[in-house]
Amino acid sequence: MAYFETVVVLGIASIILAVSLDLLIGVAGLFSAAVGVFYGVGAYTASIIWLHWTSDLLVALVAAFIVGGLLAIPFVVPALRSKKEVTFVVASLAFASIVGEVFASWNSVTGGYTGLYGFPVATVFGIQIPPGLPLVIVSTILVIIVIAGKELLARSAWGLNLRATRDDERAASSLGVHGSWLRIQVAVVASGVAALAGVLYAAQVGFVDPSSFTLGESELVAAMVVLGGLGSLYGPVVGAIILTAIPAGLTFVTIAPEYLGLIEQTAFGLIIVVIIIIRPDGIMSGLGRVRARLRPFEISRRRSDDGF
Amino acid sequence: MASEDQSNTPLQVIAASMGFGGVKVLTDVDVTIEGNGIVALVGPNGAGKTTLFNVICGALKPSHGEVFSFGEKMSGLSTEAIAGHGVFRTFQDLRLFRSLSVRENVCVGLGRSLRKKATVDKVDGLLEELDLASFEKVRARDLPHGAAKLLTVARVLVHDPKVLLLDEPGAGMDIQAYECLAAALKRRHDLPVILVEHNLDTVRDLASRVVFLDGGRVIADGPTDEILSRDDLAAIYFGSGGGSGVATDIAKDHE
Repeated sequence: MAYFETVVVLGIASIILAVSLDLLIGVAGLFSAAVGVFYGVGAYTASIIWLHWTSDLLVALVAAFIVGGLLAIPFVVPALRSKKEVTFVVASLAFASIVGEVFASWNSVTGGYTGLYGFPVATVFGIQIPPGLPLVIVSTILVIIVIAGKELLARSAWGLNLRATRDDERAASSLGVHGSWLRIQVAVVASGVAALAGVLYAAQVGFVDPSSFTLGESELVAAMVVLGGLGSLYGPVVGAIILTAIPAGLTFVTIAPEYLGLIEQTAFGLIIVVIIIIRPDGIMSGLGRVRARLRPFEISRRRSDDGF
Repeated sequence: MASEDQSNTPLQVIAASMGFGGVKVLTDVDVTIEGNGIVALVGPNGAGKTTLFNVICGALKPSHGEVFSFGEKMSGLSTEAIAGHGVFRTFQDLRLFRSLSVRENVCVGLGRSLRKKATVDKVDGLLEELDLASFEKVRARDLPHGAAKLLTVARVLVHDPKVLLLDEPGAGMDIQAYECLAAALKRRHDLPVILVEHNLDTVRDLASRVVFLDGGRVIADGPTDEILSRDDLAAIYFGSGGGSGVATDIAKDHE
């Protein structure tokens, strides 16, 4: 059942993208519209490696992470010089447009609008990993590593300083925390992680072209993260599963093709609106968090402010 | 300007001036903290106390003058670098990391040393000392005011500061929280502290020396009892003096 496996692998790719974006929004307080583009960077990097050098999937993953991370530097370093979050958002939009244009126009490398195809079946340690169950297994292992890695980072001293910077950069800097430098680091890591998802896409679909890595993809990933709950362990995972399952599930319903798009979009929109009304902070937000009950207190001025 | 004994001087502010758009907020301020203990910075609203803190900590760059700590020049350094030299401050408006737990707030900036048992023990000890242990897992935004104020102090004490600047740490505290704060400061009598404080009972209780600021200038500097018994300063503190409130408002807008 190739369709089901495609949905699973692309669903896992979406989870990785959502985790990557949650590292930015949930941990660092930065919103990037370039996630979909880094997804594409990973897919193109893998395709080029498979076409010209080796069919090794691990090499493609490492290369995609490095290329994604390095490519983020010229975008995040100038963008993060400004302390205003909106600057980063606008810079990410601009960057996404530029890279999208490069995908479509750099014919000798990316194949232009035709894209890249015809690469060999990916291998891991010489074993072939064709699309289908073998790739589902490898993808599952990868997504577990990514989720665990993100949790470790978020809970580390590094992640703590980053979360502190998100809450109050000035207070954090007064405690010796270099907020700008941490933000550059997290943006580079998150871009590398998003590129990993692109490798899974290329391995499953066997073909990459610019139409799959647009701002629309970034919007979808943002919806996944917000829907699931920012900064929570399973939030991005749940959001990605729901927003992958809706269109996938609708294909099993008998709908006249001319209405499919309309119904899909409406269902999408309705579910997002309903969830936002019912759980404004996301489905997983606050679950499993035991809030300590505060003892009653009174604020009273200790003594009068008079003196002398 | 630097002398040999400067390397033993915890903090030296030399001729610091600060102005915005022609309005002077600080004028030739000289403050030297020579020994240990608490020096209170007192003055009417708008005297430039918080601006002076911001200049010392690198949040504002003075238009003239220099700041030294143990012989090292602080002026021109970033706030992070100044913290790296052991000069730490609290904020009048708390500025806690609101979504982080109390324990996490105390651990910010400790980096890899958090892996060491000694650091974890130090954090535990401070939480205990400042009556915060029972709030350990509570998010900072859910804290009662007194505990939130104590947390701002715990957050800097954990770094073993060489110089500590406290901006109204006792404001609005209940008596229990204040006594906890006062005890913690008195226990660290060898730590050089500058305290901005409006409550003069607190100043009498904690500080051995008072620097009186008005209109961005140091107008008196001496032992606490002597300064707080001067009628002319009382008149400025409560009366018509200190006309530079507007100037400080401008300074705050520029931060």
